[in-house]
Amino acid sequence: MDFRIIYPKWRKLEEQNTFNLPPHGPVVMAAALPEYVVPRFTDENLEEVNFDEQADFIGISMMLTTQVKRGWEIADRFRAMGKKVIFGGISTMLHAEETMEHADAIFLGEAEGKMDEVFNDYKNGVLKKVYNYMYDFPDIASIGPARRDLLNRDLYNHKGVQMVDLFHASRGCRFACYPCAVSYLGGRKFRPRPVSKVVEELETIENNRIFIVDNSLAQNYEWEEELFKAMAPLKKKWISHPIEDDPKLLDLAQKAGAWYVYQAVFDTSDYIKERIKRYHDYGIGVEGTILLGLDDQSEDDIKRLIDFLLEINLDLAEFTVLTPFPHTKAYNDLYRQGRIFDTDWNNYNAGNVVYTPKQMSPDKLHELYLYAWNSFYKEESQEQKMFKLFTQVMLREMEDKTYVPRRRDLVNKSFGKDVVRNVQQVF
Amino acid sequence: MREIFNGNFDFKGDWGIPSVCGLRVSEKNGIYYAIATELYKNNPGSTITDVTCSLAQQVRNKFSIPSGKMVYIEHNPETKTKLSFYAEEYFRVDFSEEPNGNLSNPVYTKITEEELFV
Repeated sequence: MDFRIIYPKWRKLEEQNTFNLPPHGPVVMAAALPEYVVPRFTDENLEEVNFDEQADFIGISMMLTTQVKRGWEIADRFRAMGKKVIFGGISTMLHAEETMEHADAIFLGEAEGKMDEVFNDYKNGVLKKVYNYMYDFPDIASIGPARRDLLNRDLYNHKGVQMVDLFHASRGCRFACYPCAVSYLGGRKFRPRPVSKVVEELETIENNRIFIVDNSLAQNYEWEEELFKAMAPLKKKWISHPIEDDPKLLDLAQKAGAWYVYQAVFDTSDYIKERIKRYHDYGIGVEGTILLGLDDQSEDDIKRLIDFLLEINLDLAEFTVLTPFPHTKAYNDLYRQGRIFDTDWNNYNAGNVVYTPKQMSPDKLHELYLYAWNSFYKEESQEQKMFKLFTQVMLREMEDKTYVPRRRDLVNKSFGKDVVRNVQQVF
Repeated sequence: MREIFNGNFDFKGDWGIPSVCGLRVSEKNGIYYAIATELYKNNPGSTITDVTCSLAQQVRNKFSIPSGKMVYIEHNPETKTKLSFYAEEYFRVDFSEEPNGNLSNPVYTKITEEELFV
């Protein structure tokens, strides 16, 4: 049976360099499909959706709120052609009721062990409107290696440099942070995968550079320690969200290949300053993730925060505007206070202001958001800062003999498109 | 004021997710005051605000509160953090009642602790 999985496109942040990373959710789901199902994958960010191509059943996988409207359009068109469409993924769970209006079925929850039922129902013509497996979590040890073979790897390549592969070592999150919906999606219990399974999957990835997408690795000290020790011999280099703020674990992480971490920077405290310094002391880079528009931030606070980011030598910074995604405390609070004025999900890309900030106008907040990007990258552009981080990882790879030179056949391509290289002939 | 219930209340969250909140139900002069408290990390499921209408309905059914006799309040408790968005807050929630008795269209009004039983 042909099962076509489509990952809808979305509008990227204009202020940020666009790097198209290989999607993770669809290939994890694909690993749970029955053997008789033959999946094919289209990432609409990089390829046009061919509506005429043969497919028995269409799956639309959505990660971001800003993907949902496009996902619905695609579904409407396939359904008008008589195809059955099922939706799944994070944003399907966040926007379940609205998505049902565009679907023959929606799948809520985690796919492992549940796909036989869905495909049997499809074959028998008794597809259910909702497959509700929210909080009916599979055995975490049953999660197998993702089907990365479905990805057209040449498309996730920028001028010969392969993008990082995405990977997850755990699910769920014991934290329930203000702007985040992960605890709603994956439960408030941290569910680490057995380290042996993590290593088994990492060994299958034909890429030395990995992005561990788990919300935070700093949730279970013993597991984190075991994980880093087991990862070290693989010599992969990786990006992740925060690592436990502990000298022993930071040291182990560095030896396990930690390249840089995403670290939220909310304030200008000494604690944050020291936290960043400790990562750097262990040779781990830091990309700050800075959320603008919280109720306790004034215009001066935001400007002070940006100055602070430059003082603490962040390697990179990513600025976003607080966005009240459904099923977050931010959404609940702003909704109750009647402060959400824009419910067009296309605008929920964390670069638009969709609510009334407490201490300034929406326009002022957007102006500060642009100011933040421009100020942080004024002396050194994103490309230059990224190149420095990239150089660090290349040197480490050369040292441990894992460096793979860029692919010469793709040096004139960026994410599948031709690039014009401005090389001057000097002799 | 007659106290009817004061403790943890198990409820069905979004898509039936098992969820729990703090709940205090009391009665004065035929009016029932239901205060649902968000438990954050101690709530494994939906937040009280994710399912306001459904939770208020579940409370009303559980304690057989007559139509139009419930003052329903959502409470974010003090969490002792420095973060302003985790400060203690109360919201009175007014609903429309549909012909089948279901509650809908929640309208939130921020109130102070002193205004709880007014």
